[in-house]
Amino acid sequence: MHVKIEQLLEMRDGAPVDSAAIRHVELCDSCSRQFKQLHKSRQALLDLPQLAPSPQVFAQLSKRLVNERRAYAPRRRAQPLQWAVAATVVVALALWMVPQSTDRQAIEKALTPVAQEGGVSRSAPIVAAVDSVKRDELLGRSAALEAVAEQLALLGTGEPSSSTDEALTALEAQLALVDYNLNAAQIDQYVPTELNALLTRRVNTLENIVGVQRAELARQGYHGFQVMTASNIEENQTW
Amino acid sequence: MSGFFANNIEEAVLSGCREGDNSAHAQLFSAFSKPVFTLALRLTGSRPVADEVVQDTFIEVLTKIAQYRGDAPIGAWVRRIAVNKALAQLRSPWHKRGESLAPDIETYDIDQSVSMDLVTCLQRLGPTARSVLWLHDVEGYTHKEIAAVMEKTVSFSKSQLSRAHQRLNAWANTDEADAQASKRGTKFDKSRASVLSISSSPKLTVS
Repeated sequence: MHVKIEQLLEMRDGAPVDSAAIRHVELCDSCSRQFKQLHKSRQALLDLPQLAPSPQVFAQLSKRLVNERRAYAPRRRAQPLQWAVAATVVVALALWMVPQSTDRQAIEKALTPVAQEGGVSRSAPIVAAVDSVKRDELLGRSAALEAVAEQLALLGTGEPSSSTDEALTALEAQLALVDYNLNAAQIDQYVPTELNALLTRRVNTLENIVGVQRAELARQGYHGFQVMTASNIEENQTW
Repeated sequence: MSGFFANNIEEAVLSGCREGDNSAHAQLFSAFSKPVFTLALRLTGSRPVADEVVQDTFIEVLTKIAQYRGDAPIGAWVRRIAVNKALAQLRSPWHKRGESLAPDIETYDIDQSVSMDLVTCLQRLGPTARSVLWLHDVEGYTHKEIAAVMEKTVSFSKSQLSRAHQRLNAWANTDEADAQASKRGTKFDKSRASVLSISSSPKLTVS
């Protein structure tokens, strides 16, 4: 009489088993083969590779998190007076701070679309120097765009439309992932091209965030606030 | 293998998550998304459903992270939530009707040839046997723990595990027979063996 598979599994997992069953497995070819097969199957299962979810899962998750939080948060509506005060203060701040925070040029540059990194072959040392210049430029644009995005975020006092909200959530999630990748990796260990690709993605994401913010402000009637570029600020200052 | 305990999450990341910091969320997600997805895919057998389980799991993890006191490793806590979410998907009437159990071919980001046969066999098992097998043999759950999460008895868990292994062994032997038949020149219908079927009693036939 062969040993049942339940007992073989218990033997495999180290549970106490009848000694007669153990002796049988030692002597019986069929049971011994099955016992070995159970070991092999478990090992094969343990050796299966880990798989990644679809790339869009994190963005969808962030969107859902925002919605969950909003469902529990008290709704706040801006009063007309608050609108007026906020608008006045922010205009003043925007006009005063942006030019002072060094470089209008950087802001202007920041708002100029960045070309996508191409798969350029790099072998000469001069290319490394170009990469480093490019990296500094991307870092500058990135910082300037971030400053613009922060200031634009202060402007709106109304409820953003749901599509704006969704777009911003997805873009912020994207930005968080890019930042995570940038922070997680030792910058020095990065091939410059890869680092530049990440920075380019960061700049592009920030440009998209600024674009969405500006569209939302226009929707709320803040057409005047599309004057956040340096040239428009100058224009305003001459009034 | 189960990757829930491979990652060490710093306290700073956890407090960032408690404060709603997006980059902390990204770090936690990046540490556990693969183990959660793999577990969910093995239990449910469907990629879209597994993606949904990943979302549901992280929503619960991130909204309840304030309740996590650190008594057990964070991986164990995340895994418990993931297992519950995946099993809830299997219990849902929508899933029971089989609408989400459409055969789903996996795409590996590493060498595909390694374990495709085993993956095919896993897909052929019924969802319950497959879940018990995975929870016991890979995640290291005891029969008592499996019985608790599946709301069944210990003997149910044991018999499902035995059945799953019996089937895996039978299919492995069939593949071996196939290989020997090919050597002898007997033609074997390989295409039928590679169909990802969820049927509980698939039959491989020699044509």
